[in-house]
Amino acid sequence: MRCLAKTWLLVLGALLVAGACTPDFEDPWLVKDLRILAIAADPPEVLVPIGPLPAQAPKVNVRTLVVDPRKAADATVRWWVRACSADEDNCDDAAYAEDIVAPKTTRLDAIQFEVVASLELITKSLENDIFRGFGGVPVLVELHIDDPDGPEVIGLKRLVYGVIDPPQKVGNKNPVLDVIKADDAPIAAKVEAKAGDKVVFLPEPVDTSKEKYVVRTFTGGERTLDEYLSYFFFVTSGALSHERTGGKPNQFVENKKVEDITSEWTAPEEPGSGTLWVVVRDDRGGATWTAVPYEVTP
Amino acid sequence: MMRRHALSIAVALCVLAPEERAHAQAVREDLRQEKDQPKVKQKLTKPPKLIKFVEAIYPKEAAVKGIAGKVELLITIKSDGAVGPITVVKSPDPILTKAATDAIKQFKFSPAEVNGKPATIQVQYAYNFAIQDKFKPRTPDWMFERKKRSGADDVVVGRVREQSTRLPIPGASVAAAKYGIEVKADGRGRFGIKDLPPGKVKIKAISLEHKAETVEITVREGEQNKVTFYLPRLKDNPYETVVRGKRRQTTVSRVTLRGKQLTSVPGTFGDPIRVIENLPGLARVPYVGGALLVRGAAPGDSGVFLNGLRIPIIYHFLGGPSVLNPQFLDRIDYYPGNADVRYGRLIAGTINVETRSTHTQQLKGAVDINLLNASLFLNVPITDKISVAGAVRRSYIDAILPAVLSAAGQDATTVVPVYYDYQLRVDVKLGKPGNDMFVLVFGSDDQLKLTSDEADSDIAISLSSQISFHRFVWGWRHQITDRLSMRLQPFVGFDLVNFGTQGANVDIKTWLFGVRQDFVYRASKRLRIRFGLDIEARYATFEAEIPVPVDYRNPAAAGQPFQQGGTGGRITLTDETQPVKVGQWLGGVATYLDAIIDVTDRFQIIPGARGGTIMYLDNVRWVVDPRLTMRYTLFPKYKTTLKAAVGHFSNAPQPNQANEEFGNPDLVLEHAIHSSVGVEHNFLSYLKLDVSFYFVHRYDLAIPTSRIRFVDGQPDPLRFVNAGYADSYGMEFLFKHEVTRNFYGWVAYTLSRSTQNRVEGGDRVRFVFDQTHILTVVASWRFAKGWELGARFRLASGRPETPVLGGRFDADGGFYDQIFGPERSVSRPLFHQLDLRLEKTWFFKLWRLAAYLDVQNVYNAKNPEATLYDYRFRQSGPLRGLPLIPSIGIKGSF
Repeated sequence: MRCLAKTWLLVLGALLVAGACTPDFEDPWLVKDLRILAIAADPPEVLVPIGPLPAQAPKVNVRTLVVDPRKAADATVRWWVRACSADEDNCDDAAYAEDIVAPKTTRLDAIQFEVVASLELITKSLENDIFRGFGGVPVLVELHIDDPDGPEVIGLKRLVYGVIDPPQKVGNKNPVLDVIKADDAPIAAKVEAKAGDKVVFLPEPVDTSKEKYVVRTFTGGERTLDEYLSYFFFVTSGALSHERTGGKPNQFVENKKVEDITSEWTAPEEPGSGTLWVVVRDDRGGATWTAVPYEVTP
Repeated sequence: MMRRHALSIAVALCVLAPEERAHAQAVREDLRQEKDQPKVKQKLTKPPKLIKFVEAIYPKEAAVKGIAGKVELLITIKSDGAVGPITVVKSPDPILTKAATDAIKQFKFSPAEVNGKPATIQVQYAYNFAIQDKFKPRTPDWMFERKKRSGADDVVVGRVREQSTRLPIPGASVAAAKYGIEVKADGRGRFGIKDLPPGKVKIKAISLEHKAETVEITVREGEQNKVTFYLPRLKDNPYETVVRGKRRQTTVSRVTLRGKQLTSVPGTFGDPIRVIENLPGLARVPYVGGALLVRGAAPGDSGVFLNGLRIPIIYHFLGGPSVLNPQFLDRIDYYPGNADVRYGRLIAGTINVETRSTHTQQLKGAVDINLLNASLFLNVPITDKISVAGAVRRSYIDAILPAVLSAAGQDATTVVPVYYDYQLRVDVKLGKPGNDMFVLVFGSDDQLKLTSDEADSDIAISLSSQISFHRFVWGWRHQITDRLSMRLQPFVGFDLVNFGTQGANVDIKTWLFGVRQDFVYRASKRLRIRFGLDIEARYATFEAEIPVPVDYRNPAAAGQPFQQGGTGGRITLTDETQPVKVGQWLGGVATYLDAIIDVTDRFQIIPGARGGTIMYLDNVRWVVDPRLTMRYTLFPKYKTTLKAAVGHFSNAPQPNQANEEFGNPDLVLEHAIHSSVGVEHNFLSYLKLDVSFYFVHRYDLAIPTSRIRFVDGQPDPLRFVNAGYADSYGMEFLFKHEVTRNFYGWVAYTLSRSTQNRVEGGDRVRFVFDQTHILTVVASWRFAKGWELGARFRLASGRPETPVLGGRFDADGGFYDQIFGPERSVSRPLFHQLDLRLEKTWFFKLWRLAAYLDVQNVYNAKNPEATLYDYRFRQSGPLRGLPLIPSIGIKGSF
């Protein structure tokens, strides 16, 4: 009788947690094929003095972290770039988009380009922006990379063009990653681990990466804010405890990994080499990254 | 005067040789056979079957005069099955006798066989004519013992009651056949027998509608024996059936259900109100959700009423039972569209649940215990004219779930629903039939707590929500004149909606009061006028401690236009919280009038209108909603009726949409035009077909917009505008086998299409729950010895879905966005599921016990309810529906 009761309790439990059953998908931190892991603009925010728009927008350099563990380091891919105004849904609309980099083939690690946004594109973005440029005008760039072994890979990056308002406002800068520690020790050239070992990675950005910045409020006032940095971890083998740490505290969820920004890596059982990437993002479009090679021995 | 009649037919077979039939009578024959031992035993080898039944019409004159009672008749069934002479055994009034005999003359039977040969036989029928709520003043049953009926010289005294229900059986015969003594039980089932000599005596109790029972007693000089008989009802009687009184149909799309007969539909957990989900016009809701998706409209566009008063929810959370104990249920009126003028402030479907009078002569009760909750019902007669009934239900998942998870060895994030509901009703009779009043107090509370107690988890989540409502209603029915009747229902109530997390808490409290007054005036035989007043005022306060949204803009943010304050997340809020308190009036004042005009015996037309004000926030909008219904009976014999209706409906936008802080206070009313045509046809009295075609156009719907206006130089998002429009059209088919003794069931099929624009300026797309084909087959069989088996099979087209073509990496947020294909352009796979329910009832002398097994998804169909994707939208997999789920429970009643 007790057994029967227990069975029914389990049935009830199955009913209540049934919604939690999900298909088994790949983990986002495991890089197995062609991936865009980061795109950084330099500068991430372009500011010009209040007044008439300049004849030509300042140049922005865009660099990327594109990887494909299936291929050799010097493998090449075909890619091209499109710029579009304000709304990401406009990138497929010729009226709001223009190709700014024609298709070309380069090495994976050499995908970078310059953006000199046309006045026409910025004007369209301004017209299309529901805030009419308040706080800055976003111009979107879409990076398209052909993958012969899979679907096209697309990455989106917002370039922000604004004016210096309030007067003390300065443009955002990309964060700088000082060091990555493995088990509290700075990494020299690479990480060496035995199969199944656990290694705790701790990214340490330079102090100036967390900027204070000032913004104009909707009511015409000024507000000084702090940046929050988020850390994203990727590996080519083994397992990570967390794909993302840091970031802004969430009002609704208590997350210990906001303060504890480490991620624990479990080395794979098979010997071999691989790469760990750490990408750091601020919450204003700035980004940087670093790669850590590792060697796993039996 | 609200009048209905209940007609019960009970037949006791009396098998007679042709030469004996003239003086046959069931009870006496039974006695005679025992006493005289007939020389030739006649055996009924094939009982006749009633193949055509005609319902007796309650004579108006009798109803007006309050004449009611049982008409007992002896029917001769000829060897060819035709009805022969009818003998009246007993009748309270010749008017009722005529009504009964007129109906029986139209009966047809299959021929009976005696000893294998067609024979003429006689059967006894008892028609029970009862005006609804007619209540004969009697001393409550439980007070009986104080009053001794029997005289001191009675050797045997006792009572004859029905098994399980303990109801007295007036008129039952109690006999000591050996001594040729027979007495009749009185109105309370009491009897007394004198003149029995000392010694052992067999006493037999016989009733036409029950199985006879014999006891042997020992009579001693100077002693009085007490005997109580509990006679089981004649379950095997082939003619036993219950035909309940029906309200005359005056609409095109209404389906009326009566509760007690519908507690055994599989998949409804024995809840008659959940049976609505199996009717045409309602789309299937994923899992066991309780949303009302009527004719392609959003859940908020349909409304649920209890005794004509709007209530916020009809089902408890997470597929729980309805908020009303089934014992209180009188009937459910379900209007998928074209509701009559009594209902307003809605633009889609209407469900009205009517509670029943609690009048009773004896103590009644019921207990229902299952895996999820337990409920208790008690009905007590206080005096001849006052009765009270109360019920309470409480779930206990919150108590057993920790044990479940512990037994399963799991720590997990769980959603725990906790709910209770209660009802208390006091009924008071005020003299004449049709004059009474009641007080009804009812309410419900649902709380949902999401907790995570995973010891190793980095994330602690705590979310909670609560919906509760409470109502106090005073009702008064009064027959003002022979032609004019009235029902008055003032009410007050309180609603609470709460949701909260660690960082925010929101309370929406609503105090409401109002009155509903309905009049019916019978101007003539062919004209009935309904008019009334429907006033409801709600004062709702929105109190919250919520995070302060950002007051600046960051164009580099990855997210939606109104959340552009930060990067890496879709919701951007500051660390600060602020108190918010907003109050607003909602509701309206409406009057209505319609005229039910029987232009001819066959043609009925019901023009009407509902007009008044609808208020929300500072808006008071005037509106008039005209409605028209027509019915034409093509073939009276089969009640073949053509029907058509058109009507205008209006409602305020949802409170949050019209709110100054969170919506757009300039929104106007939403509207809908309902139109439908159809046909009804009765193949047999219990086999009915109803086919309807409908078209609903909804316009001025409040839908989201990304537009921003600038007020004093500051951005002011509009959030919602009246730019939505939607069309729903389709066909509803219902083929129904009414509840008879051994079987009921129906086939419901809906063919539908519903489209609407979701955003301002957007193209129309399919409604999120649009299902082209919905087929539901329900059947329930009752077998001997208290067994009942029910089955429900559902087949429904998959809901529309927007295909995801791939993902695009958002480098500012570090996540992937979907690349969508055409919006809602594909359908999910077909849904199909079979549910079974097996119930066994045991009948005891004083009470009955039922145990049931309800199995959902018997063959474990793996129905996909949603599509899940991997982080970059390359891989996808279905989120399956509920697996095979058995559920057990027990119900006891007395």
